[in-house]
This record gives sequence, C-alpha cells and structure tokens, in this order.
Amino acid sequence: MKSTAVKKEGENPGIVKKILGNPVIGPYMALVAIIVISTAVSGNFLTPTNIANVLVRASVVGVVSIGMTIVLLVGGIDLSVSYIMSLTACLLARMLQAQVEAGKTGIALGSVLLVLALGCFIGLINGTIIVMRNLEPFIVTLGVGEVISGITMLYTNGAPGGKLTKFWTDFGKAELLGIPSTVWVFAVMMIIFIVILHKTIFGRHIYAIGSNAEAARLTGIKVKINKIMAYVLCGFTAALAGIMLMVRVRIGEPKGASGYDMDAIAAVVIGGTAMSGGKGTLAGTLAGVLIMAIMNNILNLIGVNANLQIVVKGLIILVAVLIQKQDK
Amino acid sequence: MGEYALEMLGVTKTFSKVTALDNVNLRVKRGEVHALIGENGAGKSTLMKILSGVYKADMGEIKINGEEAVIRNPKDAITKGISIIYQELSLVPELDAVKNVMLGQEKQKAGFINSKKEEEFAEKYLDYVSHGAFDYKTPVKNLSVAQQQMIDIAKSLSYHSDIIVMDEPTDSLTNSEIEVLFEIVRQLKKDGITVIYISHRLEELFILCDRVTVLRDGQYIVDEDISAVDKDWLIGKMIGRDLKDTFPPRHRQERERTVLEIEGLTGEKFRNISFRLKEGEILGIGGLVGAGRTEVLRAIFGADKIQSGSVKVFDEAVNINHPNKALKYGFGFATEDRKGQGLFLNQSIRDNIAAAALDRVSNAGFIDDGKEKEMTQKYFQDLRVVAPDMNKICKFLSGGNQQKVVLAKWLASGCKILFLDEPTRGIDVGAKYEIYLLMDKLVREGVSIIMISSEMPELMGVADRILVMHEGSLTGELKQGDFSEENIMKLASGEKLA
Repeated sequence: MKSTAVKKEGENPGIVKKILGNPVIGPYMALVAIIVISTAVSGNFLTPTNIANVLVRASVVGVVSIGMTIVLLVGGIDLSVSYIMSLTACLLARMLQAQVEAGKTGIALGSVLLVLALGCFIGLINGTIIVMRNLEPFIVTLGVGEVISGITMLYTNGAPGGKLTKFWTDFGKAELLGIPSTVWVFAVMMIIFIVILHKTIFGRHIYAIGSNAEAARLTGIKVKINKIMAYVLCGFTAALAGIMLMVRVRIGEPKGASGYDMDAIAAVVIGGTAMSGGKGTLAGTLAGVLIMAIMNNILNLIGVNANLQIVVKGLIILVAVLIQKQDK
Repeated sequence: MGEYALEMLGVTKTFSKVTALDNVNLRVKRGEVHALIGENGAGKSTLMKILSGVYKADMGEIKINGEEAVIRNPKDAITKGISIIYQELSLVPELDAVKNVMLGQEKQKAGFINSKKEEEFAEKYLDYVSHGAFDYKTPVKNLSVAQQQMIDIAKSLSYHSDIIVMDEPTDSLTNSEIEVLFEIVRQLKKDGITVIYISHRLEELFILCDRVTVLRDGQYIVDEDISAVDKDWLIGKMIGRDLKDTFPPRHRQERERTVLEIEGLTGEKFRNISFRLKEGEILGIGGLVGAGRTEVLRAIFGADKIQSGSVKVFDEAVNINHPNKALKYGFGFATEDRKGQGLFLNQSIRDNIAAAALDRVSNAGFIDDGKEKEMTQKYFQDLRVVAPDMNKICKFLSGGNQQKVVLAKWLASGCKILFLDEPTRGIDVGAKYEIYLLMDKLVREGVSIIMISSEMPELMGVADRILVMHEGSLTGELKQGDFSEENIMKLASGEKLA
C-alpha cells in the first residue's frame, strides 16, 4: 500500500493540550479574565450579596439563552423571545391576581402550565411557518414577535398589572443552600438541556441538521420536525424566563423583557455557538451568559455612565466574536 | 524568449499534513495544446489553482516566457495572461453574455456604464468563439452548457490571455458540441494562444493535443510528445501499473432473489425506468453527466418526488416519500457530492459514522455512549480510515478517507440495498482499490449495490451488469460479455447497439 498522507499524531495528547483544544476554552478564559479584572477594580464585586445578584440576573437571560442555543444550532434565530416573555409574565400575573382575589395562595399549577404551553405553541407557529414555507427565521420570528407584542399591549393597555400569590412571592425570596431559587431553576434547566443535546438522538440530530441539512435528510433524519421542535423548545424556555422575570419584579410588565432577545443572542454567540449552525455547546452558552451578567454588574458597580455602558457592552460583544477561533 | 510559454518547476503544496503536490514540473511550449492528465486526486486541479493564484505553493517557481513570475491572487494571474475555464463555469446566471464578459471590466464613465461600447467590445470576442451561434442578450442560465462555455472562453480572451487552461471542458458536452469545442481550441492554437487541456477522456488527447504531462498521486511522472505514445502507455503512467490490477477479482455467489423491482418510474428528469436488482449483485449505471442517473436513485430513496411508477422492495410494494422511510426498508445512499450531501464536515468521524445508526445504540431516545463507541470503532477500523482517532473533524480528511466515513455510516446503519453515486470520484488510486474490495466484500455478504459511474473502466471492472441512460431514459442493459467502452458510449449517446 502506498504511504498514507496523514501523519499520525501522538496517541495521547497531554491533558493541557486537551483542555486547550476544547472549543469552550475561549469563553471560559474570557470569563476568568473578567472575574479577575472585576475583583481588582471593585471591592464590592466579590461579595456574597453581589454574586447572588449577578447570578439572579444571569438566570433569566440564561434560560432564554438555552432555547436560543438550540435554535442557533439548527441554523435559525428567534427574535420573538422577549415578546413571549412579556406576554407570559403579564398573562400569568393577571391570572394569579384572580387567584389572590379568590383568596388562594398556592402555586396555581394550571395557569403556569397554560402559559408554558402558550410559549411552546408560539414556538410551534414560528417553526411551522419557517419550515413549511422555507422562509428566513429572522423575518418570520420578527413578525410573530411583533404580533405578540401588539396582543400584549392590547391585553394590558400598556400598563403593568397583576399580583402574585403568596407561593410565588415566597418563591422569589426563597433560597436553598444559600442560592436563590431562580438560580436553581436555571441550573436545573441547564442540566436537563445538556442531557437532551448531548445524550439523546434528538440532540445529535439537532447538530446534524445545523451542520448539513441536506446530508441530514439523506441520512434519514426528519429535518422539518426536528427544526420545528427546536423553535418549540425555544418558545418554552422563553415562557419559563417570562415567569422567572415576573417572580423577580412581582408584576406583569408589558415591556419588561425588552433587550432580553439581543442579550441572549449575544451570550450564545460569545459562548462559541456559530450563527451558521451545527457548532456550539450549552457549556459555552453558560460562560457567555455569565460574562454578559458580570459586565452589566461591574459597569454599574464602578458607576459608569448608563449610556456609556451600552457602548462598552457592544464593544465587548464585538471583541468576543473577533477573538473567536476562525475556522478555515 | 525561450521556447516555453510556461514553466512550473519543483512545485510543492501540502494541506494540513496532506501532500497534494510533491516537486511537480509542468513545461508548456508556446502555442501548443498541452494535455495535463492524471487520475482524480493526482493533483491537476491543485496545480492549476496554484497557477491561477487561488492557492500559494509551499515551494517551487513559476516562469512565464522564461521570466520568473509571482502570482499572488487570481487577479495577478489574469494580468499575467493566464486564465482558467473551470468545470463549474464562473458565469452569473441572471446576466446575459455581454454583461458576463464585461463583469469586472465594465466600460464606464463616472460610474455609468456605456452599453454600446460594452457590446462592441464583448461581441468581438463572442463572435470569435461562437460565430454568432446564440443570442448575446439571453440570460446565460437559459443557454446550454456548451454555449456558456463559449462565453467563458470569450471572457478569457477579452483579458488578452496568452495561456488558457481548460479543466475537463468536454465533461458535460454532447458529441457534436465537443466537435465545436475542438474547432475553437484549434483556432486558438492557430492564433498563437497556448492551451493547457485537462481531460480524463484519453481519446480526445490524440485528436487535439501536441504534448502531454502525466501526474500521479501528487507527483510529476513524465512529459512526452503525444505522437510518440499510445493510450495503454498513458494509462500505465497514470495508474503506475497494469490496468487489470486496478480492480480486485469478483467473488459472487449465484443468487436469484430480486431485492428491488422498479416499474415504469417517472420523475421530473427521467421517464419510464424499469429494472430489477438481484441480491448480492453490483448493478452499474452508466451515461453522461445529466442523463438523469442520480435523479432516479434519489427518487427511489425518497429524496425527490416520483410522478408515476412503482417500487417493490423484497416483493413488497412500497411508497417511500422521505429518506427516513428508505432507511427503514434497508436502503443506503452514498451521494456523489460528499461534502454537500454526505458528510457533516465540521463534526467528528465518530458522529458521522453513527448518524444513521443511532437507533441501534440507544434506549428510549437516550444514546448509550459505550455501545455507540464500540459500534463506530468497529467500522472505523474495518474500513481503515486513516486518522489519528475518531474525534478528528471530517473536513480535515482526504477525499478517500471522507468517502470511507460515508460508507462506514451506511454499513453501520445495516443497509441491505446500497446506492453508490460516483463512489471513487476525487479519490486516489490506493483508496479506490480499497473501496472496490469493500464493495466486493459487501455483495458477498448479501448486500446489493447500485453504482453510478462516469468512468467506464470502473463500470466494467466492478459491475455485474450495466444499465445505460441517455437524457432521462434507459437505453440499454449490458451483460458482462458485452462490456466495452464503445457499447457504453453508444448507449450513452442515445444510439442503438448493432
């Protein structure tokens, strides 16, 4: 046989090389750097209260980012998430208010499941239109988002409203092992979705579709259904994030979620997920979410002008994307 | 000025540890038609991409008219008088002939295009090649491949190119179109233009070319006057051994069971196709590019719609409307376009091999890591994929190894009927042989294979029967005793056999 052209590399690359070769190393190095710098510039940063504060903020964006990661992995995007969040928050807060007025204090499971199902349903609409008519996800989700936004405004007249039952106000304040409840929700969701993406056939198919949809189809993968499913899951996580937001502000705020869509997309991309699909991990997204949250926090702590903060945030996103490993 | 219009000396090029060219020489005399030949993967395209500035050589020099030249990018090549006509023509489909020729060299004043001047300029070159054989105002997407090719040649001439490279120009042309192309090439030669002609159709070289350079496995083998050699000599130089050793011996068992029965299948690009596939046989499908061969297999596989006709698998009438269903009936399909349709390029070898067989290694949707690894490792080793480990990302593999990964995927899926569309295209000779061996082993184990190939020696060397298609219809079936390039060519161009 002729000599093979590919030379054998060392069979067991060192542990250092293995770590450096891992695709999420970039975001995590950036995360460590930002923590070190933040600790250095502000004595208030590394305090338990502040860390808890950062994590709570990160949790809401984090849950949205989970769904966004899946949608980006199939080569899509979802611009309707913040509108889904607002609708969910307003709807649930008002349904809970009715419960409060009826003298109830409980979890109101039926209402909660209803708004979560609504999130899934909006995702189903997004996905179905995109897949069946083969349209650009960008414009479809933008359109659907606008519709939902309008419906929310019609429903609420643009005013914040609703009231939480005792269960939910308690839940907002609850801690377990010193960690706030919303952070636990984020952590649990993260674990569930990491298992889904990396341990199930569905997860493998998501990566395959994003990597090469035609090859996936010819490998017998049901591309359409899986793509729609990605949007359904994104709708679900957006609705869940809406509930978390409602718990935090204890009211349904029709414009309370604005900016979460862009923050989530930025966090996912900073975490190393390719907008072209097929490449990325939830572990990376976690790093991206934390980087964004810490940035927001430290700029506040050192008293940077609010408008300047936006500029800095934008620059951080650009730098993060620029230094990401380029594929040839 | 020396006698050479172009000299490429000691050119070496490696891609991430794979040596594509190793110290290659190409010397082309002024005003000659110089054939550049070699098997797929021999390095012809890479060499031409270096000449046109698409790639940069690691080592070696280029001399144009005896003077050393540095070609940094495609624009450099054009200004130095070199242009290349690629197999995939570089025209904008929506624009007409004149606008395509003028693209990038628009006649303008203050940003406004002077259409009249453009027409005058472009028509001069278009007339030279086409003698006005088609309308220059038709969007080129509505023209035939041959006509588009003419526009591409006119475009090259309009850059005042002295050296024109043609990469497999006759691949998708009909016989009469080929004649016209030859006339154009002769005319170019008469007017002192040097032509480098890449083709795998060796007969053409004896009609058209003056000299020939042979490459094999990225190495320069020989250059020689074409009049001094014959076809067998060329083949010997190209493959480095006798033709009869190119294909492994067949080991077939007589089996009579029909596994696939196609009756009157009609789709958008083919009509009334009927044939049977027997268990454990390799059925070849020959024909020209565009004859509808791929489309027939895609339709059976559920990737495209069927207009009418019936498909029976193991005597059961089936309606396969999605590849997912095809897999359930035991089909596998290794497509011709490996990168575009076969592989998940940015995923690991392991993920690729497992992609069609996840059901076999999972419980209730959850993948069993250990089982998956065991299964993929087995096929990784069986097919001798050359890579450090299974975590290697597929886009860094050579064409031959990529094809092995695709085949491993289908073997892992446990398919019983395997479609192979140009299974050895772009693969070097050693890996080709391995793939033929694998096919032989598969049919011995009872898998049935349909293989589309444009390489006639491959069809004759590997298949048990050959079906030939022409413009969407089946024109004939050849049994092993009737195998000859002449017979296949006749059927492929729509003629009847005597």
